[in-house]
Amino acid sequence: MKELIKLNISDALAGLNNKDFTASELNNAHIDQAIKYKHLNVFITETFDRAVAQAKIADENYLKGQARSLEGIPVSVKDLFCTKGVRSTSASKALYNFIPTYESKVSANIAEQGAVMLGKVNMDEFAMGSSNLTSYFGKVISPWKALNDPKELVPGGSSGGSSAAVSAYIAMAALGSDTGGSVRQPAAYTGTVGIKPTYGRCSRWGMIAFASSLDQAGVLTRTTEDAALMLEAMMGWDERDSTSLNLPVPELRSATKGSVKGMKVGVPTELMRNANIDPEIIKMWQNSIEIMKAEGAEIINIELPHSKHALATYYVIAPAEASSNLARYDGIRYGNREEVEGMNIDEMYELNRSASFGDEVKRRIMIGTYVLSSAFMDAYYLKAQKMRRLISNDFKMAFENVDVIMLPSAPTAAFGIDDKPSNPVTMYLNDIFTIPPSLAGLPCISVPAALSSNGLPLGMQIVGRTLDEYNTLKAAAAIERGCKNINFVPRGF
Amino acid sequence: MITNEEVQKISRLAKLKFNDSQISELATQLTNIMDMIDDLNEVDCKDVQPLTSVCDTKLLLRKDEVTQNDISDELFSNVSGKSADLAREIKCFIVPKVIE
Repeated sequence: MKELIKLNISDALAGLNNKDFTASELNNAHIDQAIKYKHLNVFITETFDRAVAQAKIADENYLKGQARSLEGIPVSVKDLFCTKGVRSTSASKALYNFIPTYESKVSANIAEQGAVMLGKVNMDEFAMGSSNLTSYFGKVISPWKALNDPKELVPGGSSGGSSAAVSAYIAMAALGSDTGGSVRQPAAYTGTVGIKPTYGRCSRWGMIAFASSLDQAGVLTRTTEDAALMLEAMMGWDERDSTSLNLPVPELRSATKGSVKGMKVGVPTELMRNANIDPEIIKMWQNSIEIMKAEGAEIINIELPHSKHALATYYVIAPAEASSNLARYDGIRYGNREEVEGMNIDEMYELNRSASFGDEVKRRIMIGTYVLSSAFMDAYYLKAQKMRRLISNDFKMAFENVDVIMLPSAPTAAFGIDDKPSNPVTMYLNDIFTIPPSLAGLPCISVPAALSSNGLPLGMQIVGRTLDEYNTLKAAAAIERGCKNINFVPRGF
Repeated sequence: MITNEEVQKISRLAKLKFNDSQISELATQLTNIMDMIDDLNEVDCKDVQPLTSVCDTKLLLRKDEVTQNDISDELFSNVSGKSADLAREIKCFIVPKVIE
């Protein structure tokens, strides 16, 4: 039998049902792996004792024949999901001591299905970043290294603790969140699968907000089938989130076994000509087209003419919403509080906020405040909302002729931890492929599709129609099958 | 081009404080970011309706009913700082004096 930590969720569930091993053994194996790779700095808060206790309950449920859909599966949870009684920081000093008295809907949903939480994982502060370098709790190190190069790499971001946990076999799945690509880009950087559903499918209740019109929960796993299993448990209507969609949760697992014969796959060929894309990414893209053709899909050229303005649009809308959402962090009711005798309240706000936020968060609050200030509101914020309409309309038009759209998840492979650019815009360019469908609220998945010449994983992105997670997963599974001979395992694991 | 004076003005609005060298650095960084954002000027959006939400459905409203009992102990459980114990005791969040 395979090592327990190397199993996929579906195999592990079969093994647990078959009494080949117990949930306690499965979780203990993952806890041992977490201890062995502690230097990757995956966790902000470990909850191993709680996991051991939960695994015992799972074992009892298997004995009683009452196992639920994720009974005993060890998962980690991004630290922006509030977890009752367990510190939830969003990787910020502003919340370093915050212990929620309530549970996020998504983490509650997977717990109700028997998933075991190993701990709260690291991320970019308030989910603002593409590298996991902005966390107050330190950088996360990717388990991957390039061939013949000892340099440490980023696991992507903002769900970098999640991607590192899954690719280093510390967790079988990890909850993440995706605002402009924060599940898909880290999945691409670590050879894992990362999916975000249609905006509104997962409740945002209890998710620490970044940009509310874009934030959506997602999950990282090692296979598309596992992503389907997790997502089925995560989704569902919640009256406490006014943007939650009151629709039945679709069955998704069968999608990963389905054929793509006759499926129409759109490829925005004009994006392929972008000079900033690594030639190896283009090669992966072309190879993925060949895989889809071999599986019987039809490739159709499409145009997304306004997508080139998506980065500018996003960097108005997301910081504007962030500056409003983060106005609540004043240190008075919860979180980090600093005060000096004799200060007035404005001075106290300034002191608290300046001491509590990191540089990237401050930068985004400043951009957001600028574009929302009365002199520039129409020129930037309103203009960006109009551009968002045009970008969304491009996708609607494309989906009149195709079932899914295929484009890369990131313009390069993972970069070095010490290669942080001095100009923030260079970092923002990481998300050029993931931002356009996020602005349109569409379901998207990143699936590993190639190794670069220096042995690093590259990810392909599938974008589906609104609410069509099924075909999104089906197309991703076809690429997964086409790449089954590629070993997406970090060396040494 | 964002000037140091503009950075100071925005920081006051955002309730953030920066020293002189941080202000100069931010002026450069925000200028770079706004230069990227100025790319929006390339497109005429005059007759386009702004997209404020991707949800096509009407937002649902719930009835305004009391659904929770007294949760004040929970609400005050995360207060920190020197006055935290007093805040929990008197069930009031404590701030510097705001009324003369």
